Amino acid sequence: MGPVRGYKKRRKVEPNASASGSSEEGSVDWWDVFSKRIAGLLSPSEGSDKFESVFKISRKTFNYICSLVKEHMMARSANFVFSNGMPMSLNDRVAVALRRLSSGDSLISVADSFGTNHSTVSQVTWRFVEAIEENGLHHLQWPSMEQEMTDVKSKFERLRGFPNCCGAIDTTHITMLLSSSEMGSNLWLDREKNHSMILQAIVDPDMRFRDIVTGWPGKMNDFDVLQSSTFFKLCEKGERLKGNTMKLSDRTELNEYIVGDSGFPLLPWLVTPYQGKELSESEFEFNKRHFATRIVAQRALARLRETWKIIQGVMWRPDKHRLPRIILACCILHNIVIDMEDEVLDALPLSHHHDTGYKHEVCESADKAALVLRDKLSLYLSGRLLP
Amino acid sequence: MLGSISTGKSSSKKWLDRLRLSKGFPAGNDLDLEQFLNYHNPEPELNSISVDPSEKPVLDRSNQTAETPRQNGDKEWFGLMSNVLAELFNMGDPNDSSRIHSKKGSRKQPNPRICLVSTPSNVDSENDALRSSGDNSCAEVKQTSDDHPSRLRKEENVENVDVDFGEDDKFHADLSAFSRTDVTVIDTSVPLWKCEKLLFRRKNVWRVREKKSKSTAIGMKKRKANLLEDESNGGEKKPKRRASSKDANGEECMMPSNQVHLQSDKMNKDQKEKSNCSRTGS
Repeated sequence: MGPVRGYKKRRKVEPNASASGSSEEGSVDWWDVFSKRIAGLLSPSEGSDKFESVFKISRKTFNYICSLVKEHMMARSANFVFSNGMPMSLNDRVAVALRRLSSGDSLISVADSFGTNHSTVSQVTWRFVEAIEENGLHHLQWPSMEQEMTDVKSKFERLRGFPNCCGAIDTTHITMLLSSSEMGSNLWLDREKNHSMILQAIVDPDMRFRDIVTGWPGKMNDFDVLQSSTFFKLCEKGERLKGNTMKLSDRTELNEYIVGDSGFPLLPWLVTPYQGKELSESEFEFNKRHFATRIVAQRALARLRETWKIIQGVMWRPDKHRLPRIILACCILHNIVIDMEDEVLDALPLSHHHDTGYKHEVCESADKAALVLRDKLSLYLSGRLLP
Repeated sequence: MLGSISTGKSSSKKWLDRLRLSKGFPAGNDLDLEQFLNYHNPEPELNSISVDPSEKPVLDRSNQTAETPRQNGDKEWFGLMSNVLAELFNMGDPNDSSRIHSKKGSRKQPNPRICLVSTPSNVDSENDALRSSGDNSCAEVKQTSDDHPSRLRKEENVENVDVDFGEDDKFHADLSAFSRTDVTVIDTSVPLWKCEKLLFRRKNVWRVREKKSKSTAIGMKKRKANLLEDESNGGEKKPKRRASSKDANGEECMMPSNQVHLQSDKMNKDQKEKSNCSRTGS
């Protein structure tokens, strides 16, 4: 006897219905049930009874993320179940994925602590990454509205007086342990002899990522990655950082720019610190202010890696086509936490060490006009620029 | 039965001779092609290729055959045969369509162009390229390609379109010395923020090219992804901003090729401008 017509269709719908309507929509709070499930499985120091300590975000942000990814996570009938056969709800899936991304624990470890298998953890996490990419990218965008950019500039200026500054750029290395077959190629071998993938980020004063480029191998230096980025091309063509100029003096106008460390070239739209040991007083003062301004990028990268630990340690044989997307998802989550004004931000330490063990790069390239402009900006900051 | 056929003949000639005569062929056993042609075409120059288009040797030949005592229906058949032979041995005017009864298309170019060898200016060659579209002027195509290296590269490297960030544009010949790696790059300044690139490296020199997908690759990836899918594809798909397709195990499905073309062309232009800027800037 053949299958009854519509059997498959009904079968597909069933897990969806049960998944979306299981525990979180019932009278019992989802977290009450879930925290009991994971009680004893997480280490006591983590305080598994406290939501924020498990997921690194507040319940409010968690709920927002669930609403963001719901359509994608639940679009197709997914038969994700716990080891006891119970189907995973949307909240369960988001919890598993967030735990995997935030703890950096292995698949097996996360699976054991949540009562499922490592394959399910992998699939659920990847689906979550896709969902965040698809539905959360509006949280990571270059300011498009003039008012938004004005706010960015004024906040930067309040930091250490840099006028008309639109962002701070920095790069970090996501280290990897490659398979023996990949070890032969030193393409991913960076200057510190680690295999790594580069993440370049431009950050606003709230430590929000505004532009990222990732996927390039660690062998490339900061300038290489910058040159390959679309941000660079847009700036060179005058299609980005083309907003309002600012008058430093009667004869000097300052265009929009970003700040970066000495690993980047000095360009009309990218201001780097003075190099060398024998600096004048104004140059030294300029560098101090410059460091205090661009530190937001270092802090953002440090917080990113501290919060989303999957990209903090040495990743074990990652798929190098998947890793950039995981990095992007972590950056979007980082921005969501900021956009939600999550209270966990207050508890996070403000470290700026994100690339431990990496010495600063030095790029000798400097644009002549940018050299003149930097001198004038230095004089302006010290109050000695003639009108 | 054979005897009954032979006894049925009214003529004293053999049946083969009669058949030959009825169809306009001379009778006899020592007939060869040369004789046949001479028999119907006394002009010796008919076997050579006619240069003057005004000459119509085939028609002349048919006029000559009219002098021989044959029926009108045989003339048509002979005309067909001579046409076939003329076609086969290239004896006649190719533009004389009257001798070809079938609607077979000519293998020759109807309006042949003169192949230009002299080097025109860039603008002229561009115009030539536009004019020569559709014809088979090899010299023109080659010349145009020489004037436009980027175009030649695209023709030679159908899969790869340059988006290099390097010191010059003359690296294409020696890319074989570069090590090649496929990378997936996320760049949020691009509307199509995820793309696959081919990264060429030799020491500290980097070249980047867009990786163009093939339709077969998409099919293969999709099939593979489906095999690896933990779920069935029952749900509806909403239009997506990005170009990747879904997968469950990190298998990358590539961008549609048309989007890659657009992206690549744009990036190529960007890179050229960038390289100019970087040279002047530093």
